[in-house]
Amino acid sequence: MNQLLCQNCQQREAAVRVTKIENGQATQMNLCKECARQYHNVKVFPGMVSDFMQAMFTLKGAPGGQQSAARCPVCGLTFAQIQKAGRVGCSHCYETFEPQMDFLLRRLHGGSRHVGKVPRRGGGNIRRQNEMRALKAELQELVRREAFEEAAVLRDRLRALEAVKGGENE
Amino acid sequence: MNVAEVLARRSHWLTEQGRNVIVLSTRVRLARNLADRPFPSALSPEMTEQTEKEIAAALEAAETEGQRLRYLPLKDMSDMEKTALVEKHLISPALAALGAGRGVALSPDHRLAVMVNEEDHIRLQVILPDSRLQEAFQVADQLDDALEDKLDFAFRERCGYLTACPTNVGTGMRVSTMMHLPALVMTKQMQQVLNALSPLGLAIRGLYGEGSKAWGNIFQISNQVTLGKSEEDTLVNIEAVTEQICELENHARQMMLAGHSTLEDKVWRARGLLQNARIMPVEEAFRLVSEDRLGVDTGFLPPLRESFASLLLNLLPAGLRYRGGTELTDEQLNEARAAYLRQATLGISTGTE
Repeated sequence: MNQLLCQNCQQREAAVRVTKIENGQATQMNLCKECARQYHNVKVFPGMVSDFMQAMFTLKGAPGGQQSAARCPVCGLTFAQIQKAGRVGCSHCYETFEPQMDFLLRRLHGGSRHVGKVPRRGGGNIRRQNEMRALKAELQELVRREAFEEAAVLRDRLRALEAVKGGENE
Repeated sequence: MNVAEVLARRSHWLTEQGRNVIVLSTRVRLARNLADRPFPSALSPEMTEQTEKEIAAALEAAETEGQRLRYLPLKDMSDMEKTALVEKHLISPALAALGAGRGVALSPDHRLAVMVNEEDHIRLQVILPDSRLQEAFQVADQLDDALEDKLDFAFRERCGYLTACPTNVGTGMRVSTMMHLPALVMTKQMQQVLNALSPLGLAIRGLYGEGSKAWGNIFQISNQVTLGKSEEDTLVNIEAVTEQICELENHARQMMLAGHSTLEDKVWRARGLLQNARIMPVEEAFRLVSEDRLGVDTGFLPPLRESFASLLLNLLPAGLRYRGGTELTDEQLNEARAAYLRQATLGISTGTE
């Protein structure tokens, strides 16, 4: 078999064939593993999404910098690497780099907490907390309107929910 | 059943002609990740394939309303098949460019398409013709529940579902409608619509074409915010905005109809070119097909047999190649496109969607 050189670096042996599709036009390139990796991370949408995300990660006033040596215990990435990629390595990064990620999420979504679907498995406690939060808001509204009878019903339901909440963590 | 057979099936969203002449299709996408391992970009090749295996098994075992999923690994597909999947909106261009350990699970009529190991471990998509947001969400939600029985998803109380890109954190849900807005474009009102949408956390963009050009006057409206808004609120927002844009488009059409003779002439010219041209570049084809469709909607032109959405897809290179079964040069593509359009507009059955 003939040795095929990587079309990007022209040095190493080509190992994969990459198909890039833009506006329905497919172009193919034979690349070595090194270049293919870069290609995937960086050039799938050239100069687009990744760059915007970098800008978000590096916004002025963002916390971090001092923690630059910290690595996520699961995926091994540093925050600097995440900044560069514009993508998070694993779900634990959200915990490891909490101050930075919270800052970013506020910038992107307006700084609120999750509202909506909660997984059934492992989500039982969260579901209950969400329900309690909704009930509390409703209760306040009822008290404000002086609808005390209905409020009493809600208060009992809240107490029942609080009773179930025994020693579980999030 | 091999890839080619699955692909040859007709996609529900392309064949069913909706009641709504402006909204062509609705899409709901959920991003999910397994809790116990890094996201696909940080996985080793071995772990990528292991993850693929686990998710594919969960997908093929899941059943929602009799919609059994069939998992197709990317490594079993030809480049032409991948491109055809991209053009049918069943996989993303990003997935098509990746290697082993990735794939897509499809339901028989393609209304469900689940990408495995793209940017996130799971990207679940439902695509339906017409404006059917609630229904599309219900189908997605059901499959999500079925998968959740078997897989542990990455989730935190405060952030919701965790994703590789922070823009998807929260519900992980992206909802979009695809709309045909020729009258808003012709009466130069699209910029106003664009400006009005951005403060609402919604985005609108051309679906085909490059840069700021929207081929065929096809636009997609989608939500940008996924954290702090419930699925229901997001669906209602997109639904309301889609409806309002439909009203604006209808109003613009009425205004154009008041100037009757020029619109009538314009759409008949489009039909004439489609029926007779021998060489048809892609951009011109999209423009003419859009004008032709406006002519059908306004009652000037007799309707075509093929659905508008399917007609548009068949103008793209992979659509034409897949039908022809061979690679074509640009010149040959322009001729094949013209031949296809002559057939489609002269009412001769072409045998495929």
